[in-house]
Amino acid sequence: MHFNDRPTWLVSLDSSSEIIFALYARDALNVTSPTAGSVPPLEPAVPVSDIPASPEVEHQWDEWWTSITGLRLAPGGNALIPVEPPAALEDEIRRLRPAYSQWAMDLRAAETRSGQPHTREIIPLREVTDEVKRELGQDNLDFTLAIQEIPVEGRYWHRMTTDTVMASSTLLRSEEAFTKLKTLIRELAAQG
Amino acid sequence: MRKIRAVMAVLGVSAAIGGLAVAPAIASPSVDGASTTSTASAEPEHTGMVKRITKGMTVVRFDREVAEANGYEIVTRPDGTQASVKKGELTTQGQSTLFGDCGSSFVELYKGGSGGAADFRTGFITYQVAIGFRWWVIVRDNNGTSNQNDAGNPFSRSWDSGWKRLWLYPGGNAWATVIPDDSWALQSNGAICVSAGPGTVEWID
Repeated sequence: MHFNDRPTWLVSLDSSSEIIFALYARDALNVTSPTAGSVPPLEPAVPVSDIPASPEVEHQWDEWWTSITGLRLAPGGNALIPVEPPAALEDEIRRLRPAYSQWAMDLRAAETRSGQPHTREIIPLREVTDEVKRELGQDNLDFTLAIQEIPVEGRYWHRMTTDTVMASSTLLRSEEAFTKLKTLIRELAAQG
Repeated sequence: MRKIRAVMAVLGVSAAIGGLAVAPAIASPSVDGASTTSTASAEPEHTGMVKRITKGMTVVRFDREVAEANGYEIVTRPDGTQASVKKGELTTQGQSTLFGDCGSSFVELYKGGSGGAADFRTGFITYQVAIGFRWWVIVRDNNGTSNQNDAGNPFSRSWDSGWKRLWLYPGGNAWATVIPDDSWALQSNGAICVSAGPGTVEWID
């Protein structure tokens, strides 16, 4: 929400099923490549295969992950058809989709049952932007930032591009979010 | 960086929004563990020695200009290595929230089982009390479009539609988009706070 009489900042907070499903497949297929291992496991945990993924599966997963996380973020009103996983993983993906759908629905149901507010109600963007405005001596800020929220273990924060970060729900809902966001937003606003 | 462009239109509360332009950041110069320079213009080393290369070809560096000229861009993986990927757009699925200087607006669309069932919710949070609002959402599937509209006088800093069960065309994608031109909250001081137009897509079984 913004006033329409002046330039302003814009932050998106999204949860991409493509990203979360890729992480689900990683955990379920026991993909342990350095790229895969750089992001914590999903929470709640996914049933993991006892057999380590083959080098070919790991390579395909790495390529898939890179293509997803390297993509530009679509403006909200122009959401496109999701990216297809690599053909080489087609059989595995088809096998995992029903289980993933159930996992995702269970996660949403658990969040609803918990009665806890959504991350968008907690994330301290107003407080951060107010403080950055004070520090920069500006009445208004002009920047864009995209946040991808993922349900992984612990306080995970990864800056994907200049103005895109991937962060765990746990971090975004913690006090640490203020410091992380303030550092990033101050930098973006100063450039703006 | 693209910016929000405000225009006056229907009811004097229309806004058009630019996209979120995301520029790739080359945070680390290493590629698959190789030691390289991070600048695309760096010259290769010439040692004056002839060396027979007996191993397979290995990518040691990406030329960003060449990549961009051919529709690719260089991205940094979470582990710090780099890769060249085809330019595209990452789709927002499930839920999307957009924040601005007077609040946030959101839309959620999730598959609700089989037979075309979907769960939908939308709403806003404003920093000042909203004394009136109007909300337009377009839902689109392979069968066409429909609207989920609302209006009222919440006298509150937030409003949401509550969860609604929708029945959409099964076996395809469905989109839900808040219409920025027509979705707004009127604040008690007379200011009008306009949605930036979040949107999402979900596969419906």
